[in-house]
Order: sequence, then structure tokens, then C-alpha cells
Amino acid sequence: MSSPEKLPVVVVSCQVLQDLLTGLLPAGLAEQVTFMDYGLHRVPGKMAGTLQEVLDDLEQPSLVVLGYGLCGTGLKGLRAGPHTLLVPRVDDCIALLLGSYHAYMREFQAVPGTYYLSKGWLESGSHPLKEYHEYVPVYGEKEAMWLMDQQYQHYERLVLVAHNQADLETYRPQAEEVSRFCERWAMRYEEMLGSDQYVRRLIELAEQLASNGASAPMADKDFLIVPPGGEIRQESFMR
Amino acid sequence: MSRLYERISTAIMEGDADKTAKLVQRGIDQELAAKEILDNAMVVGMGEVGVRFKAGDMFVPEVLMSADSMQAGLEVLRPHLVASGVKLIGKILMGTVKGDLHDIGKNLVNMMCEGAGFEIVDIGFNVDPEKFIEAIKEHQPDVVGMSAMLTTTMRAMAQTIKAIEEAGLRDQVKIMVGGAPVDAAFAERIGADGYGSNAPAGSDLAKKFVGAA
Amino acid sequence: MRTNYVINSGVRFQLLSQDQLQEMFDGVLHVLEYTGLDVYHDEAREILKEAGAWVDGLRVRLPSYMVKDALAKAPRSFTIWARDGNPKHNIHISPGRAHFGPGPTCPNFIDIETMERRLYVKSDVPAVAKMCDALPNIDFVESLGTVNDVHHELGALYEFAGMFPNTSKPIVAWSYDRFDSAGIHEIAVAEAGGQEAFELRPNYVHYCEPLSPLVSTFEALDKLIFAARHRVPLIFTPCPISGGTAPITSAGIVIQGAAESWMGLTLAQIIQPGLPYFMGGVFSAMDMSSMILAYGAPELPLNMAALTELAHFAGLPLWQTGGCTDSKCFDEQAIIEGSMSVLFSALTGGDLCHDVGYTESGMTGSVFQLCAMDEAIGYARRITRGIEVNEDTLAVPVIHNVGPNGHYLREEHTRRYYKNEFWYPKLCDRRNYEEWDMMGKTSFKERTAARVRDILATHQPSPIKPETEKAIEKALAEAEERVKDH
Repeated sequence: MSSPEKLPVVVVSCQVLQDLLTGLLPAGLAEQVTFMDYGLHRVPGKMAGTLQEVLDDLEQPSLVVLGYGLCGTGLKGLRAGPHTLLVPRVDDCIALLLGSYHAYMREFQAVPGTYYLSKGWLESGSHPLKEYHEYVPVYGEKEAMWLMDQQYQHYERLVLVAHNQADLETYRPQAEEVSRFCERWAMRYEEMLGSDQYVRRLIELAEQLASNGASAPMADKDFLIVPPGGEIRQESFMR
Repeated sequence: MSRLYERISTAIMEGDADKTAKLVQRGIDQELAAKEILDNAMVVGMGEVGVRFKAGDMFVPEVLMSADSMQAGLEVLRPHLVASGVKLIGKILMGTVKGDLHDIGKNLVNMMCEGAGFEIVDIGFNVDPEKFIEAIKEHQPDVVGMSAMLTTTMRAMAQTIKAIEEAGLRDQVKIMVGGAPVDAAFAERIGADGYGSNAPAGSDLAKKFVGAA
Repeated sequence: MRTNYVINSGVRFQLLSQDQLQEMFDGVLHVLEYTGLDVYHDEAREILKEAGAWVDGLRVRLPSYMVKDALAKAPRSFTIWARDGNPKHNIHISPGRAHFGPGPTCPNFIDIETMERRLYVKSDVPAVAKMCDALPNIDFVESLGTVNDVHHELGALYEFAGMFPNTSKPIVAWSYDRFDSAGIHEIAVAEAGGQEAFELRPNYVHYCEPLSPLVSTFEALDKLIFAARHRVPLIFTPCPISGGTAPITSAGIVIQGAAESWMGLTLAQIIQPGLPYFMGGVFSAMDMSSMILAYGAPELPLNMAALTELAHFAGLPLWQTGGCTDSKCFDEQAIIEGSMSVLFSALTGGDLCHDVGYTESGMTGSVFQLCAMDEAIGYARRITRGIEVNEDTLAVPVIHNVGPNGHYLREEHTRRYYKNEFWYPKLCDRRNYEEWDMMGKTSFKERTAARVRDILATHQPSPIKPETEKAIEKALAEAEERVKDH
């Protein structure tokens, strides 16, 4: 009755964390690793539904590690069903890239108008320069620029976050290209070395939970554990 | 008549500012009441945009262009609204809370409320609780509207309301909140008087607060 | 005027650090959110689900924000009012105040005349109530037994009906089910002058008990829902047994019991936000050789102290336990065990400490134990009153005036303070040997028995209103009718 059962581990994550997770996940820990399109948060009302389908397709009760934060309420309403969900207790992926909620709040309070670029975002995602290029054929240059102004004129800073010096150097040229475009709004360019600390702890906790089965170690303020039958609530992300 | 309203509505949904302005002018030329053009065509069009955006069928650039069209229409309409004796029904103070730079939604609400007959005092984005308080004291609004787009900043709404309470000003104003991550339950928890799920809803709520709806 | 000067008002006692309490608090939330409880009441599950709980069959788990909301709503301070308006009998629940009273449901009673152990009967109820009413250090009232000579489903109602006219101190009532609760409530409301008047000045508290481990029973919740709907201050506390129905470790039993209590708290605050609510219970060890729940064990006051601190940390008042013993007779064991737990409860500020007067591990109620513990409580209260340090009490000029080899007896300073500074016992004897010999060489036991009989012979509690008497008759008649074919 109280002997721990082993839970299979499934990772469902936004593409933006693909690099970090792939590098850190120990071989053999996860039975299934699925990376979802990075833009799900744009229609937050639909994000939970999309993720719910992935969860509902799982064949056995699993420990589902979600590589997401609340993401603009995107996770709200996601039901655990027979699974146990492990989610970082963060508003969005920036905290995960920077390595801690503390770092996230520090940066957020210092410069709220910051646009973050990461390897993942540059490769698979979007950024102001890319958006502009997508608008031009549809709306024409003038309109396209007007649209960009409306969205980005209040931002102050463009930050490239990478997890090691080599990555910073590799992605700097791309980031600088974006930054030259963003100069029109006086956005200054900065680089930050993020930390993989948060993602490491996520994986450690997943290992513990998976081998401990039904009895979870106490959740801490950095992680939300939703038991079977539970549902993700917005309030659970308020620290 | 209603065909013209439909066309104006559609022009707004299509994000065609020039067309919107032209059609609104035609309505004026046809001696349609400015208030009716506003309520039955423009507000309706913008309302539909909000619904589609939330459902994921319209995206930010399209919303921006629709807002711009609405603005173009309003500019044509404004002198006629004033001339038709549409009285000011109240004063509304609008701001995006501390830490948040997003103001598109807020600007939309401004537009709707202006059309509804409010005097708008817009204190911008990234507004400290202290600044809200100063503005309330200075401008004496009937309604205060707060906007936030991030889950990180919606908590600032609670802080701002608390600060307004502590400054002894809570009873003087009706507070409404809105923005993508906000919902009615959150609004209730933090002690707001109401929540608007999109710009027209926000303007309707403001009207209700001043007893004009 | 002195500034930045810290005063200890009363004796301070701290078992756990803030960090330890935070960890325990987080532990309770985790149990509620992750493990959950089985809730055997359909309507309760519905209410909880509607409010955001995760419900999976019988199992209910509460996301921690729901519990925190409930804790925020429950008041830390409130008053339970004497039915006759006597301000000395009001109970002010607030930080730093410890109150004491007996407990219910012992099957046996120590006969007042013979001091023999026998079954508890209906006619014992008024005597217990009168004793509580008279004893200066007893603040609330329970029956110290289960009436044996009425229909088995009506014991609780008869007890309340018997106690209410015989004391104006607040009663902590228990019941078998919500029909009982309703009958009890009718009586209290009649005296208060209507439901609205009752809500402003509640004159009794309702006790309900869930089951350990982690079960909210149908009956407990049914009564909770009744009490919440009628705004009756509520005690919802378990009796877990270390090593039996709860973890053997103190920290473990405390958090499990708190979780059991907070499930009820969350439900109650949804139904009636701001309802006065006590957590706590009887948290003791299972004696592994005799297999009884030990009421005299040191683990009891220790666990209860930890639980008190956790309750106060979370912002709730605490239903404490003390003044009880495993002894089968009125002897030295009874006094040690009872006094230790009484002192501990006073030190921790346990808001309402019950089971004073319990003997034989809760199987036999004794007004002698109750009366003896009244003395112990007085003693403990003197200690927890502490020491006042100010210019006058430092007495520096007095010391100077009296000087070396002087005497303080004739000092005005001494006259001013002697009545308050010392506690004067009623039962402990301090006479010198010759006087004591002359007065009959009485033992503590004999003096206690004499005091009990004296009180019962002379004490007059304030009467209830005539309409309340009618309400009592009506409630009892209706109850008898209801159960007559059971």
C-alpha cells in the first residue's frame, strides 16, 4: 500500500527549451520526449487544449514533466487525469533560461521592457526582425513598420541569453542583426549568461518523483506538483 | 442604412483605415446620427475583432490595423459627436500597471470609452501605484481602468488597488481591470469592481459604473 | 517615555522556531494538496469541488491557495458570550489567553458521595455544570460523561439540556448527528433571542471530530455544515494516536492532524466566511504495552504545544487538551499528570484546553479531578502572568529605605502589592504543623472533596429564560419522538 511504484517519465516541453533539456536529460530517464511548437502561448486559450491531447494520448499513468511556465495563462485548465504533473512555478520560460525565479524578477524589475533572445528562439522562434519580414509581403513596408512600432516602441532592451561562451559567440551575429533593426526604438543590446540551474533541478526532481512513485517529496516554491485528478490553476503560480 | 453599418464594421475588421474613414463620412453625409454610427457599426466591428483575437482567429497585427481603422473613423466622427450634443458622461483614468509595457488593449478601451462619451485621462504604461494615486487626486475620475498583459504584472493590480485603499481613495472611484491573463475570478479576488473581457465590454462596464447604461 | 524597549508580558515559551513552523505548515499544505483526504459526504464534496478542489471519487485534494484563503478568512480573535451577559463569564479568544474546561463522553463517573466509579447518568449533568460554573479557573463547560440512562441516540442533547440551565459559562457541545445539533441549537438560540442575536453573540461552541488517518466522516461533516450554516463557532479536531492512526513521530502526527482539521476549515469558510474555527484535538501516544491512548503521557502536552504553535503560526485558535490522567483513582499520579499538562497548556496559550477532569484515560469523569485541577490552573496562571518590571516594582528606593537588616512587612509598598503579587491557594495547605494537626490533619484529597460538596450545596447559577425552558422541553420531546422506533 505504501511501497513506492515507479512512474514512467514523459517530457512535454516548448521548443524553446529543447537545447537545454536535450543536453541535460540523462539517457533512459524519459520514455518519451515531445517538443511542441514554440508559439502556443500566442493563443493562450487554446494552449491547454493542445497539451491536453498529448497527455490524453499517453498509454499509462506517467510523471509528466512540463517544460513550460504559466505562459500567459496558457497552462490554466490542463488536467492531470491519471498522471502526475511536474511544472516549474514560473510565469514563462525566461526564468528557466536565466536559471532562477530570483534572477527573473531581478531583471524584470530592473528593465521591464526587455525582449529576450535565446538560441531556441533565434532558430525556431520569432523575433522582431523576422516578424517584420513576414509582415512586409502582406501589408507593405510602411504598414509593416507601423505594426512593428505599435508593438515594440516601448521596449528598452534586447538581450541574448546563452548558456556558455561558445553559444554566445555563435549566435551573436544573428542577435546583432536583430539588434540593429531594433535600434529604431532605441533598444540597447546586452548579452547574458543564463544558468541551467532551474532545468537541472527540474530533472532531479523528476528523477526523485519517478523512482518514489506515489509519494512525492514536498513540493517547494519553485515547482508545482499536480497529483492525479488535479488541474492546473492560475493561482498556484502566485508565489 | 444598416447595410452601411455592416460595411463600416467590415472595414474595421479588415483593418482598412481609409475605407473606414470614407464610409463613416458617407454616413455623416447621409445625416445618420453620429452616435448611432459609433454604436451600431464601429463598436460592433471592434467587438468582433476582440472575439476573434481571443479565439486565435485574428492576430496582433490585424488587431492593430483594426484599431487604427477605428481611430480613423473616430477622427471623422468626433466633431459631429460633439456637435450633436453628446454630453460627457464621466471621466475615466486609464493606465497599464507597473512593470507592464503593453498598451494596445488599453488604447482600444480608450477609444471605445471616448466614443461612449467619457473624458479619457491616459496615464500611460508601467505606472506605479503612487502615480495612479496622484492621478486620481489630480483628475478626480469616476472610473479607474487598469490593464496588464503579463501574469507577472497582473499582481501589480492587487498592489495598486491596495495602495488606493490605503490612500483613502477607494470609495471615490470604481475600478475595472482587464488584459489577457485577467479574468472575472481574479478581478473579484483583488477587490476590483469589475472586469472587461475585451474593449467594448470594458466600455460597457464603465458606462454602467456611471449609471449611463 | 521609553522607546525601543521590549517588554515580555507574561511568560514566553517557544517550542519550535519560525523556520520549523514554516516547514510544518508547508507539510500540512502538501498533505492536503498531494495526498488529500477521503470525504464521505456528497454535498461537502460538491461544495469543495465547486470552490476549486480536485475531487477524484471520495478523494479530495485541496490546491494550497484554497487552504491559504480559508486560513486568511478564519478569525484569530473573537468572543464566546455568557448566556446571561455576565462579562466575567465571556471567553475572549485572542493571542496570549488560555482557557480551561472539562471534556465530554466518559462512560463512567466518580460518584460524588461515595467516590466510587459507576456509570454516568442524566442526573450527573447538572452537578458537573454547577461545578464548572462555580470554579474560578474553569472557563467553559462540558459534561464529563455520556448519559447512560436515556435513548442511546439522545445522550448529547440531554447533556446540553442538563448543562445549559446550570451554568452561564459557554458550553462546548457535541452531538451524534445534525438532528441533535439542531435541537441543541434551538435551545441556545431561544436564550440568545433569535438566530440573528445568536450570530452577533454566540453562546456555545460546536465540537465535531473527523477520523484519523485522513478521513472526513459523513457525520462529522454533516454537523460541520449545520454549524457553519448557523454560524456556530466550530471545533473540528481529530484524536489521532501516534503509532496507530498517525505517524509515530510528533512532527508527523501534528501535521497529519492539522491536515484533517484544515479540510473542515476550508469547507466551513466556503459556507460561512469568517466563521470562528478551532483546530487542535487530542494528540497522544499509544502506550505500546497497554494499548491505550495515554492521557497522562508527556507526549500529550508536547504534541499539543507543537500543535498550538502551528495553529497560532497559521492564524487559528487552538483546542488544547490537559488536566487529565490515566490514573484510575484520585491520587498522586492524577495530580502529576494533570498538573503537567495544565501548566504546559497555560504556557503555550492554548486557547481552549479541554478534558480537565478526565481520569482513567478518558473513561471516567471526575469532578474531584476537575476541582483539583482548578487549583493547578490557578497555580499555572500565576506563573504565566510573569513578572512586571518597572520603576515601582524594581523597588530601588524601598530597598534603600529599608536598608541592611531591615524588614519589608510594614512598608506601604508591600501592602500595595501583596494581594496581587502572590497567589493564594484554595486547596494547597500552608499552615504550620500544629495548626494543621488541630484542624484535622486533612489531606489534599479530603479538602478537595469537601470543596466539591460545599460548592454543590451552595452555588447558584443564574437561571435561564422561561422561553428557553420551553425550548428545552420541546427539543427533548421532538427528539424522543424522532428516535422512538430506533
